[in-house]
Amino acid sequence: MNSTTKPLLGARVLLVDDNEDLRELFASVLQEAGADVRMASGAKDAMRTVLEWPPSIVVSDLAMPSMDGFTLLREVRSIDQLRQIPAIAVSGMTRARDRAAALAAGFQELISKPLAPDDLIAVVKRWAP
Amino acid sequence: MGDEERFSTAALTPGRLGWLLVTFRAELLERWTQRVLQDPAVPDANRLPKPTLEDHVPALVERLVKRLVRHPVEPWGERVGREVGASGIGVAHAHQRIALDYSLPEALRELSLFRVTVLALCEEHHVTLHGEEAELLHATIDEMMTASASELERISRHMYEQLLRSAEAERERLKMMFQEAPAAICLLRGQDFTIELANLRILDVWGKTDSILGQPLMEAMPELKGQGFDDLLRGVLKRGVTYQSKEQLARLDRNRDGLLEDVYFDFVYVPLRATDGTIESVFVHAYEVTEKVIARRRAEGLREDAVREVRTREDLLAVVSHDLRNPLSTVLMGAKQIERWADESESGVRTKKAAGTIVKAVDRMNRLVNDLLDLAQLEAGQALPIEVERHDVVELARQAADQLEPLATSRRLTIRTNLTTPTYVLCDGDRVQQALSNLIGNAIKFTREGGVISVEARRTDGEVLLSVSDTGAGIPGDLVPNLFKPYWRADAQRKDGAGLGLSIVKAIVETHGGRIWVDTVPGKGSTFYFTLPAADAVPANKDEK
Repeated sequence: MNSTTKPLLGARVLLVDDNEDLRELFASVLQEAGADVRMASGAKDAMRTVLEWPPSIVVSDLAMPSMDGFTLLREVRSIDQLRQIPAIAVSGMTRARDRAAALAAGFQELISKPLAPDDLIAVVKRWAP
Repeated sequence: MGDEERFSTAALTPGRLGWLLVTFRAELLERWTQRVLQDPAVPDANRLPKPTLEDHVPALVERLVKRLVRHPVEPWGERVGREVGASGIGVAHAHQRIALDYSLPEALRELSLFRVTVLALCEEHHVTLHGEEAELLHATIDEMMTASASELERISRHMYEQLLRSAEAERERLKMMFQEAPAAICLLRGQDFTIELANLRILDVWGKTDSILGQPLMEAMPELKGQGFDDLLRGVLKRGVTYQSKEQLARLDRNRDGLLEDVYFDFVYVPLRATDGTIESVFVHAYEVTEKVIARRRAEGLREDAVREVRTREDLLAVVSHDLRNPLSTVLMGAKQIERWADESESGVRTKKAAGTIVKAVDRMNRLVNDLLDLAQLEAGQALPIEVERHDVVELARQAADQLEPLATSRRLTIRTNLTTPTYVLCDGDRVQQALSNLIGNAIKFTREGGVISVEARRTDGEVLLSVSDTGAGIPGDLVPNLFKPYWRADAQRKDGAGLGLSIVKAIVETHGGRIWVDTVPGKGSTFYFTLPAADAVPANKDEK
């Protein structure tokens, strides 16, 4: 096990997506790359998780029922020790204005769906502390 | 002088009137002229040129002398038909004087001064007028005065009538213009805006009859109260400044049934001043533009609906694309994972190959989704969003060619590039690469095995010219005009592609301010060209990748 096969070793990724299949696939990709992953199916679920398990990076879908990715990020960053946490938006909405909205809301990057495993690993590696 | 010759004193008896008139003609003339000019009752004489003033007197003297000499052989008036008699002189006198605005008393005064002058001259030279001579003198002058007076009267009556007629005609014309004008016109007088004049159009527009003439505006049209017009009118009356308004709404009871109708006007209120300078009335000149306003509002409504519809469609497409991308992501991720997990066994290799096919399909679907989104944006009349930076277009072309190299190889095609000198343009790198990939992809699609695809970039004057050529079948000339239209496919039989590609390439190029065209030779191949503005104006960035 070295950093080429496990590039995300040590990263604690909170993965938020309401699509279960995708969530599972993303998690398997990240786990294979060495990351420690917790999944949440929605914002409420995510907020519960961060309290007992503070992540080092958030990877979240934007359009989700009840609470969207923007609100979620605001909530997460309102927790003292998570104020600086990096966050990646993953979305099928990729128009320039969607991208601008994500950056304005404080996401480090918006990566568009569909994406290949390598893209996902690369973006997490780029932003995880 | 000729006059002198015409009169012979031989036939005249000294000391008699005829002798006096002939002998002292010049003096008589001079004295009479002086009297006339100095007489306060004939002010207009001063405006008469002296020769004109003197004009009739020689003729009159001549006439008198002739009569005196011949009398009593020739009775009065006998030769009037052939010669101008005293009345003829009077008529001529009247004509000349009226041209200078002589009044009747002035003209008569002038002639009576002639009589005074002759009598004074007689007295001075001790000529005692005999009964006959006196009668002749007075009768001739009287005759002349009577003729002059009646002519003056006739002329002034004639002129007055003519004036009256033309004034009447003028008034009729103005009235017709006023009444029949296509504009609505009225005149409102005084503080209560009494309707002094109102033409047919304004009565029609107001839905009123001419019975409202003479009524204050707000009494004639009580429905106008509280609509602000009286304040506007009062302002015009007070400040004396014209007020103009366009498409002003007035709510009028046109059918006199108490139901108010929305009517729109373009109008102007013009203050009119009395002779003493005070503003006494307001002239209202209005055009009803209700139909125009309604038509425009309807058009605006339709346009808004259309915009909203396109907008909705675009949003819908965005949502659909989003929802399509989720399962696409799942498929792509899954296929990629399967690819990775497959081992080197025979079944593993087959699995890997199948997974690769899925990945390619996802790629195509994803491109289609992106194209549809672009197209929705173009159809909504929005420009493609581009983020312009300085890029080496040669590098972009090389990347596009490299990406499609495997596809070309799989079809036994060669991609040849002539891309060496870095050439910078201001562009959206992703978009330009998208355009190039599209063109190269098309070239691959339409070229038979063994063919060659060339990608080139060349600096021209202020621009960079990019080209993608193939050795394919070429495009029939009649199809060329349709090439860049959305949803159009060269070969309707082929189902690979939605026919969106070239229309989007064209939009990308044009959004960058470039041009796109194609040269094609059936049987030999096609070359697609497009230009991008060169980035010379921008200083070279040393950190250029």
